[in-house]
Amino acid sequence: MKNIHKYCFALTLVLLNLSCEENFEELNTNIVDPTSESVDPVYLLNNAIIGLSFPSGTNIYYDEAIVQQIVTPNSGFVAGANYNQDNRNNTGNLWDAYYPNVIKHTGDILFQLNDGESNRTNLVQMARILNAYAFMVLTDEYGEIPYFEAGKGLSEQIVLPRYDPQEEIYPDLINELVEARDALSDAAPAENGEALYAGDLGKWRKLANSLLVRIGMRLSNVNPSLAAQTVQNGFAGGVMESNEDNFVVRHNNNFVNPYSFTFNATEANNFYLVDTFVDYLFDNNDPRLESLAIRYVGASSGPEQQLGIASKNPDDQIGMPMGYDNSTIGTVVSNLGLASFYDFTQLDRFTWGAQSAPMFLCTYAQTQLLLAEAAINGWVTGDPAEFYSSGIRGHLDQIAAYGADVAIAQEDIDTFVSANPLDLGNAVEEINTQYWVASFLNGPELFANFRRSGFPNLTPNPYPAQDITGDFINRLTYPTAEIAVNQGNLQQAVSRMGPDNLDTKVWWDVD
Amino acid sequence: MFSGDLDITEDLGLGFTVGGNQLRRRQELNRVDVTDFVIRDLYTVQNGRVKNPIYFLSERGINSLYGAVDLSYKDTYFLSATARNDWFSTLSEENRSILYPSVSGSFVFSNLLEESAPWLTFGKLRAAYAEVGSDTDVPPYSDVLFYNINANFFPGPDGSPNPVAGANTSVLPNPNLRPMRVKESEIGLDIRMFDNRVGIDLAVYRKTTLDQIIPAQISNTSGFVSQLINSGESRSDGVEMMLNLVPIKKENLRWDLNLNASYNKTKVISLLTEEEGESILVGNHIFNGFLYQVVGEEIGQLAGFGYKFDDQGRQVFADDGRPLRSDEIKFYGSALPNWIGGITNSLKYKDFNFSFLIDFNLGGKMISGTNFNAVRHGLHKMTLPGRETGVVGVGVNQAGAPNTVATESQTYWEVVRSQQLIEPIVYNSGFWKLRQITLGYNFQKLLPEDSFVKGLSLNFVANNVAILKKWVPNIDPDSFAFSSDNVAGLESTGVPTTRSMGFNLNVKF
Repeated sequence: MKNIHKYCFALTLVLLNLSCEENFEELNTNIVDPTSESVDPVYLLNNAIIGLSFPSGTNIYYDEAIVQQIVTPNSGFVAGANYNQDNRNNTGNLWDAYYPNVIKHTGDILFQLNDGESNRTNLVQMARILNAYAFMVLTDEYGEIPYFEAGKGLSEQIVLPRYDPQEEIYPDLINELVEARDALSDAAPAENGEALYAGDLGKWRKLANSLLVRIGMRLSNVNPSLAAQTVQNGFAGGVMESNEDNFVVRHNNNFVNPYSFTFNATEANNFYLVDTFVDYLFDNNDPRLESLAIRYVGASSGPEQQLGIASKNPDDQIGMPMGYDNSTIGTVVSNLGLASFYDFTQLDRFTWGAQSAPMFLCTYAQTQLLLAEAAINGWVTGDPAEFYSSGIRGHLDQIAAYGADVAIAQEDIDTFVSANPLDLGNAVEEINTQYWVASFLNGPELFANFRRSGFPNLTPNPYPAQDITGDFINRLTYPTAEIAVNQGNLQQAVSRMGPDNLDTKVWWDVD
Repeated sequence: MFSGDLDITEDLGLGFTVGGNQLRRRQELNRVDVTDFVIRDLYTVQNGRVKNPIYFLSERGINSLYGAVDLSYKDTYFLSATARNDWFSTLSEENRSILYPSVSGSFVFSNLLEESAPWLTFGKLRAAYAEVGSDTDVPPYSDVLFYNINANFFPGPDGSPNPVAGANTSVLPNPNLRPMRVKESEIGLDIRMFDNRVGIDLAVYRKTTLDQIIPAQISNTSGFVSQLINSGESRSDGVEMMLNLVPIKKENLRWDLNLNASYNKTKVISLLTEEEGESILVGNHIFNGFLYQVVGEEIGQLAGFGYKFDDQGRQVFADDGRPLRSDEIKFYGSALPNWIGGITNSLKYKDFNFSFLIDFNLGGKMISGTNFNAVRHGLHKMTLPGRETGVVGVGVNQAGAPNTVATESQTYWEVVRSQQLIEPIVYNSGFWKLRQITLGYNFQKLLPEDSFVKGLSLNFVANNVAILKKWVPNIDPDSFAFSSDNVAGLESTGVPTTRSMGFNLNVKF
């Protein structure tokens, strides 16, 4: 009898207990962190804009060394295009920056606003334009990449996206840019909280059109008719008209330029301007040399690189030759009568390489130079020489953004521009060589335009132990983590494109 | 909780327990990180120029109901059964509840053999089947994406302050997680003989784990780097053995020998599918190397890029003599040991006692980050040959002719870092260790009988005395612990293990 009592008691408890499941919803609700219900998606767009700044691993150690503007003689962690070797710690940097820091956020915005109820159509178009830009940079560096299924972990639970041929990505980039540009609407709610153009739709349209010009020129060898049509579409729509329209990430001490770690922190004494670049600027009396270069005359160690011995005088600048490592560079150092390799010319880390240095992604100057070549091709109307001059002038003006100390005086700009008119007999080389200077520090664009145009005319890096069979690196390799996790899809890409090495050419890279 | 006991008949006993349990865990964190102190050596919050306050709150609950019935017959046959239902707050409403039973029986056969086999002190045969459910400690709120608001505004073209936000995690939320379930069957035999001088305990088991929740790595092109998933099924088969012997038992001398060993092998039966070879990446080494679960293989497969070999098994070198990397990721075997055990010998002579423990851990593999760093920096013994003259790798060049090119040592070995090769630093993680030695004396006899001190003994104890056998150089293979099967075998630069020696004084009052 006693036991039966106990039994009933237990049953009551059972019922009590079951009802306790009810507060589980409340228990499992996070009351601290905001959700997509409360976060304005324009905040995510701002995050994506910040995420567009290039990391050093891909864009200094590789891109800038491939086009022979910046190089290090050192090995190990900083090895890259200085030796034309495949250093998987660095090749994947851009991939590991752009997918999680840009595509993740734009994908989130498009997922949130794609419900048919939102009236934030301008924000959607802005996200599409940034997306198109980011994917263009990615496919230019790596070739086949996850595109159509990328950034859809959240929206469609796609955790292992398939790869798409560049041949299919580029037409869609054009499509996206045209559609987004045309869908930007002054009637829809303004997006003044975005940090790129403060909601100025006119500037967004100019950006989309300038990117169309860039894409068109990229395709000039592989598909001239699509190239011409795309350039014309962008040009007719209205491209950037001044440096005010530039596509630029404005850094400050909170949101720092990723290159600044390379130029100021642990690698500050490891990177030097290449002689090819320094000599070209010097031979041309280019005032940009004095602005961007600095040499610690007589420095025999890293710590000796002090301002007291620093010179910005163009006559003092000595660029580092390509093809040496930290033991073989010694011969060059003694032949040149230098104290050590620390005695070579560096980028001015206090301005061009500073934390707050802006990162230019697509500029008025670049667009004008591309139009000069397009005009030569007869794809747009206008005087190639005029586009060329405004391109050079645009870049010389743009340098003021690195600080008043290194800004180039107006009279020097006038002198330089008038002393360097376009030589129509050698126009394509001149234009693309100026594009090389005007794109300084924009690694992906330098690397891509060098492959496309073949200019500037560079001597292949003579370093003895290389991983490449041709003269120059043709693409960068996939990150190892991606190979480890998404092997099935990656293998399909490789079977279409060619091996995952530095030699395989991307689709648009034809002669 | 309520329980009762009943003696139904003289021989048949019944016990039961019914209960409920509520677990609530609340974690609240208030923290301020401070940097840029102004006054030297004054580490207070208010002395810092930059303060970063953090607030964190997480709550979880488990409600449970359970019941158990125990039956016994003649104190020889025992049968018990349990059932338990858990509800987890961390899982979605549909998947929150799990019911799991267990049943076990035992038979003390020595009770029936008291007369025919008097040397048998105790003998028991047991068999059990049990299921256990769990939410694998899924963090609360794993089903929804939350955002982080950046502490600073990002300036627009006119300097206007613009808020910045983004998802606060790289783990893709999974609202469909189910509780995991472990099913285990075991048969065991426990025999003690000859007045407890010989004891054997043997158990054989099969354990099946279903729907284990693991962080599967996903492509970062999805926007995220991992996702918690229910990972199919894995099966462990194993044996546990224990042997207790007292080879010598005299008035002044006693020798106790204890031997225990276990063998376990866990195989992955399915992940998302049952397709042989299907794999999920679950762990990354801090430098290079990966840990996979692979259908059809033992759990915890270590993998990474290795050297390149041609069809005839010859290593292939670049034209400049550097080793080339394998085209594909190679698998090097399971990180988990198969054999674990130890042997303890205790000797007592009069008032002296001496014992030592030897233990072992065999059959696993490891990726050694310490050796990786040593290799790439030229500090490892394997990098010595050819330091002055250059290294000529044994193998062929890409054309298939013998490699004769001498490569500078640094260039040759730095490849392990730039190409992320783990082949030279994958090792057998097994070891035999002299784990402990104790030597002591009992002073009891020397104490006056009426002393207020009732007992006094002094022991010298040494721990981690010596590694008797190991296969990995430069480190103690025991120096890194891993908390789960998903991070096993990934050694990185840890703190070396220490040997401790000391005296133990035991005083009883």
